[in-house]
Amino acid sequence: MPEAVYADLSRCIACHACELACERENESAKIFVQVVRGLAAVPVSCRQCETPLCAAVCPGEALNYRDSRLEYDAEKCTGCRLCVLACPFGTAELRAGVVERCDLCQGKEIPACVATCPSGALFCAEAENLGEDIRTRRAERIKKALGNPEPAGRRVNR
Amino acid sequence: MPEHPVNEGSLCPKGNTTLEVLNHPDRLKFPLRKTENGWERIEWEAALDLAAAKMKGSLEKSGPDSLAFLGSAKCSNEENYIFQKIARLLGTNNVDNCARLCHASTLTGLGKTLGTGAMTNPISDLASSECIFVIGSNFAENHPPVSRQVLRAKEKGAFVIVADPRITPTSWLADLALRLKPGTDIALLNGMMHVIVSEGLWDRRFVRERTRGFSELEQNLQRYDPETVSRITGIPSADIIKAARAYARAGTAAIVYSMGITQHSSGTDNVTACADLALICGHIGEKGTGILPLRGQNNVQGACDMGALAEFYPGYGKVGDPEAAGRLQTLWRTDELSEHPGKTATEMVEAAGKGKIKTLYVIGEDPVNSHPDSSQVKKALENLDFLIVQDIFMTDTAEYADLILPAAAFAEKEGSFTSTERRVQWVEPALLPPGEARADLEILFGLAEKLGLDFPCRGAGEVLEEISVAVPAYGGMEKERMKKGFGLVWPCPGPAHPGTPILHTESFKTPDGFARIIPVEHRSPAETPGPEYPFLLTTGRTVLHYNAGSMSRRSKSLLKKEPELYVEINPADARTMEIRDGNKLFLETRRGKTEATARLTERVGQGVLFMPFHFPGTNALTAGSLDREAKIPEFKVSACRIRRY
Repeated sequence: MPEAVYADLSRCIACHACELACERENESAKIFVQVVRGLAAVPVSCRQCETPLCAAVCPGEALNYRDSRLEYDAEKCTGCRLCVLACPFGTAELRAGVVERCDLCQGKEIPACVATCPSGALFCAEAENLGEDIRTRRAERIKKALGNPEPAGRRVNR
Repeated sequence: MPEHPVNEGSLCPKGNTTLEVLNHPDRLKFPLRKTENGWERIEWEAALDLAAAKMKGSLEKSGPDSLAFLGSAKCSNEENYIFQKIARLLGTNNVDNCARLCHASTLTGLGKTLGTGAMTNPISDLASSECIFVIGSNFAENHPPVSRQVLRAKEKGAFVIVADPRITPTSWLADLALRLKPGTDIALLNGMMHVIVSEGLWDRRFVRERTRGFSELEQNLQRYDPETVSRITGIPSADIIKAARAYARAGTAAIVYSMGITQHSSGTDNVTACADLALICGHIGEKGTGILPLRGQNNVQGACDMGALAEFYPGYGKVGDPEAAGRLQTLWRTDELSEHPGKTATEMVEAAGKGKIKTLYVIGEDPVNSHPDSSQVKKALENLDFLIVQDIFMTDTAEYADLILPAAAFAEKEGSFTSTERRVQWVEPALLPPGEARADLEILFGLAEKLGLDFPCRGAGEVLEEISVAVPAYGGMEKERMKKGFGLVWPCPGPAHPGTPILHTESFKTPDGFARIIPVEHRSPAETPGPEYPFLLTTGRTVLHYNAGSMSRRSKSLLKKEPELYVEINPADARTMEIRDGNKLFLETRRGKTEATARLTERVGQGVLFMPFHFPGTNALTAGSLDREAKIPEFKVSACRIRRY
């Protein structure tokens, strides 16, 4: 499965900088920060699905998945918005007759949203490694906590 | 720039949209004079002649104190320095900047306890803190890149405490969130100190060797037992104890505060209480250990360092101190400087209302929207003989001006800026100013010449050379040095000095080197809700806008996401008043009224309303009650009533 932009939800502070950076670089935002009751935030962008439902439902074959890349042919698009409905994450958008989808800022070293994220919540990763990455990070945190002879919140009074 | 030590290449939403603001068609391009038929474009020469003639007129007719100068914390050090120099050479100390509205209480509070009213450690130090106590700061929205350092600390196991009346994205990062009633910060801080002292968690050696005044504090703390404090603040006593223990026991601990502490009629005392807490625990003067007041604009620290303050000369020499005045007189080759402190930003407006100030010169400020009690501000501006506004946009304040001078924005000029962590960085122009707009420094030199003041026009680099003599902490600041790497952190007294990221490591900046522990008492805010005005209105910022909004409200992508003035109200309060999300509400305080859209959210507690101050209207409601030492207005607490529109 190709790379995609993921978010560490415990780090997102709902500042919307990723949306604005994407808008600046790509004319319209292809990442969306959903704020839940003012108490938590979830950034979502295209998951770069291996079997993209958006392409699968396209009646006019305007969306085609070839060589790990989704191609879009505006000539064949009827504007029916089935792709928008099919995307389980709500990240396919049809604007002005064009299906817009995150292309990970082709030509840039890292996507603009990842580069700009003030809290370091966004990162680029391959889905296969995602679970392992999280497990490694969590394990390192536990190691740090255990390995410290004077863990946080303990000080010998002078 | 991923290698930058502060933001590491990240940008907040305002940073991401800055080109929309700089390239906006509304930018002021030509000097404008108000006539009976509206605005008339005039030549620069005529504009500067007019400004100088009006200032001289007021000076001759009503004396130097009929002039007032309101500077900008968005302008460079060089510009602020020359601005206050013009004011003082004309014979008045009526010069101030908007730090009066945000961190004046930091200067007074940290000044009298630690000797220096500035951040003690760099932002990146937070990553090394084992406990971070955040009180009255919503950095996740107002200083988003600070979050990455706090999160880095959390990854290492740090314990984060956030005290705020609202639930904010900053409290999402907390291990312990303390939801206190607005205006009860001193009670909370004293309560924590009560626990620390009674449980013997204070740092005896630090208190003995580096401070004075502990026994007075100990006496004062007796009344602040956790149960009493819990009744005042609304925080469960167990949480107060937990916070106190976590902060005191941590090996390295930092206090982060901001306007939730400073913008109160007890602002100076609030800051003093923060300093007391750090001092009794010995949490000052080491990596990851200190007090971090986060400043709002790019050059609040610098504008204050440069003496754009009514009571301080450049480098914080007190107005009235003959030695400080003498030094400046030698440097400026003048015989006399006014010996009495000038009027502060808020006092200037009041004095204009009473007709004592005739000519006001405002740079990059929008008091109509940023000062409390807007209707009084408007009346005062109308009462002036002559108002000069120098800005990049036609602000609501500029509408009241007689003369408008179009200025270059930060990316269109050169100069140095001092960030919240005392880091002085040099900025090179990247763009050309629009139309005939000029750099503020160029405008000021032009005006000084017309006023007949005897100092030659120079570039920013040469002005910095004069600053390095006038301000001892800037002694080693040179343009070429600063351009290498990422600037220098003051105090940097000499050309070979590397700068001082951490303050107070050996001794404090007080005359005898000891810090002062000063007991303070909880007092109720100047206004509390009652039957007539039952809600407590508090104000602040939201992540998508900047200050009074004259810039961020001109970014179409920011405005699309946050288009209008809103008021946060707890769903339980809304239910009893039959208010639904999106309803237009009519808000009223003893000062004025305004309309806003209701936003139902549990982010605010019952009985509390929150409004951002980025839109006109909010400050029509706020009160002008001032802290007696810092003269900062109490933006954070007003009694308010609402009804559906």
